[in-house]
Amino acid sequence: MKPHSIRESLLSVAFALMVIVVGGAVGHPDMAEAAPENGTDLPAVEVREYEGLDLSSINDFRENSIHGPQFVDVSQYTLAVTGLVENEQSYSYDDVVNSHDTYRKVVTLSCVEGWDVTLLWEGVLVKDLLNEAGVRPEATTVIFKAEDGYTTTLPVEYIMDGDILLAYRMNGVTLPPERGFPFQLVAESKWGYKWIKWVTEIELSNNPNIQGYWEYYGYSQSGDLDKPYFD
Amino acid sequence: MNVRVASRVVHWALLVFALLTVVSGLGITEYQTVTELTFGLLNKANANRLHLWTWIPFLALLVAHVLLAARPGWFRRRR
Repeated sequence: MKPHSIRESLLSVAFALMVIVVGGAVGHPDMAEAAPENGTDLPAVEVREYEGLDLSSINDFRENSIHGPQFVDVSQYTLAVTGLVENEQSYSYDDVVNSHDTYRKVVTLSCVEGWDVTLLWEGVLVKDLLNEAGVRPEATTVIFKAEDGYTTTLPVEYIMDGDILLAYRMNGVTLPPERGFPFQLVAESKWGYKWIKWVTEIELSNNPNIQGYWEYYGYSQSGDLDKPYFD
Repeated sequence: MNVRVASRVVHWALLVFALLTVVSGLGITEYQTVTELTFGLLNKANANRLHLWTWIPFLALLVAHVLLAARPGWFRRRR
């Protein structure tokens, strides 16, 4: 093949690629769609900086749940507070979100897999829910249960003495299903396996030895971040 | 010990530990799949324990492997 014909061939290929790229961009809805005429709600954009702190993205997580993301139907959803309480409670999603004070704080989740994310969490205090139910004096352990069958436990003092959030927003965005919608526990100063997602029930027990899902396989019962994650 | 025999032992041991490290790492990050493939034997917790244990011998064997492979003359001169 002659040199000029090679050059022509290359130019043809480059031109064809340009046509494909430009054509693809024009055809792509994100790049080419006109603005809505009467105004349309756009998806919330996550906050990436809060009071001078750089935040991770809600996409920086690794999906490591035991049965994959759960897609909870909020119209059917209830959060139950059961066990050693004076009055068992059952809340709808709106009950939890709209009838309780909202708190927000920046907390880092550290996973035993070796990654971590720092996010702005927003939600209600777990102790507010427990106080409404009335924790009986013999209760020592809070068992959290999730839509996918996952469980974890924490001491009552940890919940009642700290400001532990049951979050429904991260970085200003409602939790996506992959991140635990409707609620994820923000178990600060604990390893990630204590940060249960898709919470459906909070049970009070007097048995401090009850093991959650990963605790059963040998992960530390306390889950303290400043200690090894194997007992 | 004969350097050639030592080299062979180190190389094979490194292969074993490299595989253990990789498989246990996958057993952590892709635990849903690995647990199923190993019929529950290598679940996430077991993989995590194994991974915490294998990295030290793996690194030691890697260093020994490189030394033995890259400097044959160094050992030959001292025999």
